[in-house]
Amino acid sequence: MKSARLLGHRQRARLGVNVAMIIISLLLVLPLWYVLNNAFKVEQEILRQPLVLLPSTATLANVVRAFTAMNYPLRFMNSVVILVLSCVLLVSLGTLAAFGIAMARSRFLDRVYTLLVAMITLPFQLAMVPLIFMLKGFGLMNTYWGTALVYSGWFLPFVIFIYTGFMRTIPRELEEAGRVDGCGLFRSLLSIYIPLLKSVTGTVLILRGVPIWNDLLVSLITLSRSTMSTLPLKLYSFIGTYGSAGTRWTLVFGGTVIVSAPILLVFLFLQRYFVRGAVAGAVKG
Amino acid sequence: MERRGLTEAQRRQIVCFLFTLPALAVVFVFFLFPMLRSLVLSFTNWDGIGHDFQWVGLKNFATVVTDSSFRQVVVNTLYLIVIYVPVLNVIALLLAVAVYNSGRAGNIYKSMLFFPNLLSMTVIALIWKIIYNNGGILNQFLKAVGLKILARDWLGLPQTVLPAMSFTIIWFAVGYYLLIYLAGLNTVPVELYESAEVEGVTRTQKLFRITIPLIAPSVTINIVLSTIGIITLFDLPFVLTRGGPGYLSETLALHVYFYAFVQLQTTYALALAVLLGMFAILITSIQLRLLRRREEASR
Amino acid sequence: MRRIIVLFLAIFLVLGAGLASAQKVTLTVALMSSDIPEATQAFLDAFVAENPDIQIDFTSLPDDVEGFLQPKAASGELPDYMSINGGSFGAGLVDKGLILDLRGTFADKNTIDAVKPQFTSPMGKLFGIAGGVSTSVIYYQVKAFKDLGITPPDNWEDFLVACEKLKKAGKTPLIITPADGTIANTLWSWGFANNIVAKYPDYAKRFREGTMPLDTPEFADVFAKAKVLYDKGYTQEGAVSTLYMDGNQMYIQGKAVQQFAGSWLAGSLLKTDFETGIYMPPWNAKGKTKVPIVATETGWAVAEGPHKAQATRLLDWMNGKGFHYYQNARGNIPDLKDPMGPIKLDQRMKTYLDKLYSYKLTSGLWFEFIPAATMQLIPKLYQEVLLGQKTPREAAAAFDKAAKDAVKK
Repeated sequence: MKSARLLGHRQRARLGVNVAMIIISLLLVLPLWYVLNNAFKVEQEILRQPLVLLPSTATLANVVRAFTAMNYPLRFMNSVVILVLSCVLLVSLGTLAAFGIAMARSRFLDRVYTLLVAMITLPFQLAMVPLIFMLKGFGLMNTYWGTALVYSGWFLPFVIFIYTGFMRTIPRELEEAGRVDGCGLFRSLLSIYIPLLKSVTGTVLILRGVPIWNDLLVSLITLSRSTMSTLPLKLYSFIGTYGSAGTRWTLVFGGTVIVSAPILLVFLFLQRYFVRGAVAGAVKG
Repeated sequence: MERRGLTEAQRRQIVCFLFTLPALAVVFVFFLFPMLRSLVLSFTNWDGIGHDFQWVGLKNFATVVTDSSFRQVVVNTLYLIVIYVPVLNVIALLLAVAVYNSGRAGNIYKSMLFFPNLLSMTVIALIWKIIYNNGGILNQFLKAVGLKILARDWLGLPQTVLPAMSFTIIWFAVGYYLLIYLAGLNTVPVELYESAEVEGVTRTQKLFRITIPLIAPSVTINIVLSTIGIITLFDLPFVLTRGGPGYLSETLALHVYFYAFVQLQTTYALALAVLLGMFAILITSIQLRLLRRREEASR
Repeated sequence: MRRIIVLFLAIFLVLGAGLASAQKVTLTVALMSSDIPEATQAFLDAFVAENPDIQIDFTSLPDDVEGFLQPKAASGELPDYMSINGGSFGAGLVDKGLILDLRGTFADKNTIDAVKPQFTSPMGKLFGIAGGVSTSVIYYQVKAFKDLGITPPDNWEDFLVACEKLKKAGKTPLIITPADGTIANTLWSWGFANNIVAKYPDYAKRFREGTMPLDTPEFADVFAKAKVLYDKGYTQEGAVSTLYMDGNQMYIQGKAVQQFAGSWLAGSLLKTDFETGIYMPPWNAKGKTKVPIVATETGWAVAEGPHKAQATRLLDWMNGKGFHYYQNARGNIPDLKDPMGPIKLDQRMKTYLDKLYSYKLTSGLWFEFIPAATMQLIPKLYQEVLLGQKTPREAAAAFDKAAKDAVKK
């Protein structure tokens, strides 16, 4: 009773929301605990006791074995270079194009936009075989650029879709005001729109960066040299169905931890860009 | 000078077009063009390897559509769209509003809810396989708490396989769509809420009168994206059930995959993928049109 | 003109590469070896040590070997040395000139003839060398059989009696795995061997020509046997959704008395904590001679290209001096005339093989003769039959239609 009186109506509501959210978040993360848990178990225990919350014997051996089996430093470098190149292309070309579409008020570009949105829906497998021929022709097989360009081609429609959606919510007056100040279109993009879109850019980087980090579809076809191969490609090679105990669980779980850890760190870092009110504040200013 | 002939608006349009050019070039060369090549090949009897082929008209399409499993696969895909898209979006939106309102801890919840997305789909499917298996975690848990009667072969029964799979997809995807809703919420000026509170508006009213209309663009984005997510979903059912039992959890995209990489019937795969693409474009353009109208109405 | 330019370029490149790396050749090698990563690395290292002019760029293939290789074959990007299965896919590659005809190589001469037909194309070219002989067997808990006075049954009727005894004793008699393609290695292939092969010994040719009659009661029985086991409760709970790897783990954990699985699993299934025995799947009717399975392991092929000489050297080494590295890790059945190294084969498997090789009429495994277009169908039809959505006869008819359509194309 006392606490209820101390807390105002708003605080009580907030407390309720928090309790609910804690429970939901924990439930959601529970299955992932299983990965982490298994990454540190010995092989026999992985096979025998699925419903154990804490391993009776913890070992770093799985992670270490996965690290060596993957040749982690090399693959990590490959993954990072491809991810960075792709993200740079996606964000730079994506904002430019979305800005063009949002500002033009042109029928033609609206049509192009609809076409782009439609293209998000096309299954990538459809492009695969002709794509290999083309990459070979351009000499882009087994290159970082080739792989990054394929990701860009595949994901740019999505990125443009998101950016355009948000650019249209930004009041036009802002850009018009900029024009009065003598800003060209490009300058208003840089000085007005891009700062406003920080949170959207953070979102785009997460929403497309993570799939690129984890992707198998593209890298399986563009990177056939093992010196070029990425972390998920190596992780995937541990998973088999016909082999002895099928999959090497120790390697898979140990490997999953070291493949996912870097992207987790990046995610936690990018959090900063989702800060509430970033846009609202800027509009006011 | 010729440019003098152009009006200010026209010049602007040209500049805008130039902005879009680099992106369009990349998309065309590395995505659209190979797609179109495949489209052409879907009218041939190309064997997937050699260099020669003959035109066979619509034969591949006819074969794919009249295949006995085709209907089931379409039904599954539609089922997933009809169940999953609304349920997922309601949950994601409610959670987004909750995260938005839960103060500083919001960042932590958001990260936790997004966690599943950091893992590859293959690993996700392996985890859920272990959960749903007959001797798996879920049944062990049900038995431990005295609900043995509920325990069953979740992935082996016609009644439970698709609901089980939908649950996994929602579990996996909710954090993703939540982020987009949050990005939308972050564009709503805080002042609006503050003035609403001064006027004594209730929380439900706030949700329906302020929040939802103002984040209409994110609703549009999310509905379209989650529909596309289902239409292109293949890796989860591939690892979780291989489309089984029978064809009861096979999606259209997985069907394409099987044609292409297991049955090695490349042209059938291409024909079905073309149909899939057309289906996707149709559904999303209907959605976009409806939602755009609502977006404009609510402004 | 273009050829000349290409030739010049090639010469130029070869000279340039030669100057740069003192004539070391980098072979791209792609093997299906996710279950034995350490051993694979070890034998590749051993090969390089003996062949200092070769470097190896190794990729581990996923299990869908054909699915992985097809897009690469289409674009001329096949690895220099690769895993390949017997059957129509490899045959297509060799007839298109994408992989080498291996007749006359040392590897060919050192391999027994029994594993060659499955790796021979309709044009008579040898497109791969098998990595061993394979078959599928029933693994069983010796103690459970002894306790109930069961001896390994010799025909289908006795098998049902044994299962009944096990079930009455409160045990799970048999694991079946219809959720993925591997049920084709066991129930389907043994059913086909015992019901069909005696009548149609030329089954492989008939499949190729689309003249294999499959809409028959005998073929329906291939599916019906699974239904019988399932309906009588002789299979594990949740059988419909069980994957092969789940089934193997269940057996290792002692959750069922018998597991029907490949001989290539001997490495792990014979090393369980409890004593495990093996016997020949009794899929024959009482009084009829068994038709057992003698088939091939996934083998190796060499791509047509600038490195074919070096890749062939690797092939000859794998099917000669280096074979034991690979064989010891898998514990599979060797197919070499001269093993050239210490082969490790479990005594139980040796005894089994002596018996197996005494049969005159044998059959292959499914993937060696059915059209690729029907492969996906087998597990699905089994699941539908178990759930009662199709009768065994309907399943047989569906398979018959798919097999014939595949050839018509």
